[in-house]
Amino acid sequence: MHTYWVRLNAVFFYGLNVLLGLSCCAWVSCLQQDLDFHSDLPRPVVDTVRVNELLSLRAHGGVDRALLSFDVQADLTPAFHWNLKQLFVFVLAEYQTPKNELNQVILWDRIVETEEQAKLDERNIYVKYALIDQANELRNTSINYYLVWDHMPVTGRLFMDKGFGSKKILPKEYF
Amino acid sequence: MLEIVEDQIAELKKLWKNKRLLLHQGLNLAMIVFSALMIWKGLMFLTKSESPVVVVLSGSMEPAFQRGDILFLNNQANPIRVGEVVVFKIKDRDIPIVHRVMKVHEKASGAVELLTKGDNNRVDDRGLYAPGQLWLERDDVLGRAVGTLRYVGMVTIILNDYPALKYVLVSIMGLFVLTNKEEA
Amino acid sequence: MGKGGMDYKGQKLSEQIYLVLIPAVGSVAWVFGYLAQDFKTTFYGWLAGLVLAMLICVPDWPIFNRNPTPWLEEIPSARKQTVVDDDDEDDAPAKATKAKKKKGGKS
Repeated sequence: MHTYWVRLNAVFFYGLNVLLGLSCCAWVSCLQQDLDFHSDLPRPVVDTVRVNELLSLRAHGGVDRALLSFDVQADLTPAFHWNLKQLFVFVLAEYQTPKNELNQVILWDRIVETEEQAKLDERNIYVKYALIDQANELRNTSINYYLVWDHMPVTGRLFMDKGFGSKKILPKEYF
Repeated sequence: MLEIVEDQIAELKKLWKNKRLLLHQGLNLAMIVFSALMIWKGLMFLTKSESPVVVVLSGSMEPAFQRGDILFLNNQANPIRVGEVVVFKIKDRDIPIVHRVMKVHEKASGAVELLTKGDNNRVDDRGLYAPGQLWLERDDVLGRAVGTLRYVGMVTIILNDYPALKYVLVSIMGLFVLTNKEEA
Repeated sequence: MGKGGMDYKGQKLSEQIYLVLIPAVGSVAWVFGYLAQDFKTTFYGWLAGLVLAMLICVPDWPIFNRNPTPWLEEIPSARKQTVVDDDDEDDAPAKATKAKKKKGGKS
């Protein structure tokens, strides 16, 4: 005859395994949408990611810093499903300098938790994090702006998707 | 409560008397421990990560990760990109931190310097790094989060966090036992 | 105490109940969650199923003790021996003590 502890333990851990199974089923139920596998479901669209106004480009202690504002228009609602906790959406500046083969800097981010918030229409918003280089090599540098969204599921794989916005060269002189 | 404890002690005494049973139980326990260890080491090898599975301990990544969420890490050689959630460890500090990469500067040689920040924190992590440290390097990173599991881990951390809950559960059970015996 | 008053058949029954109940309630909750497109629904449904299974299967309800194992009649002389032989590693006296306990519980 089993003791109460053995039984309680058995029921609880069996239950946990069932929950694990349910979670995995939920993940599988959304795989087609995640992978865009033979589906005619709508896909997320990035309309614009572009610099609205460059406010300043200066060197602070040997490190270049640019402040700017930009416009973002995108519709990420198709990325949502019941296995998604949130999207981590950010504006990414990507560029190459003599010192670094690749520089990636996040300028602005937003956590989108519901489908209703996933339609982005922001005009002339100020950067949350300045565009700061590792050295003083921002002048006359061509910068690509992207909108990237990271899928944070309840269960399953974390993955990112990205839409190209625009490309712009920073001025040759500080101002 | 006391009777349960006494009963357990009696069981243990019985086990101690029966050396053969004791050995059997001991071997059983060893098998459980060693197979768990084997799975862990196997995962370590596959993912090249020191700790392939971690439980989130702080709320600095909320709402993406709550305390108790389970993360699966991968530390294979492919380069780290901005936006990824990484687990890193600062030298001379025990507890690894789960945060998001906000900046990546990669040299032609492949050497990379990273800056991280928690989604729920207002400022980046430079205050958390070792004094004078401005960037994380590849070696500081234990792995990137590739998968997550929410509720399953939550249950275990609830029990861990509130030991009182365990006792409440136990006393409810005890009550059941008592009432049931009287009925029968 | 600490030992359930469940007989072997009752134990099997309780095992079968929770083995079926938790996934059954969980699946229903999963479907509801899917329709509502909200995993929390599924989680709370699962939790309800788990608690229900615990309430049904963990305490030794009388229903699980309808086929008590028939123990042999107690032999008065054996009882004496039990007391004497209690420190022995033999199995037989241990059985005798168990039988004694069982009888005490029933009365």
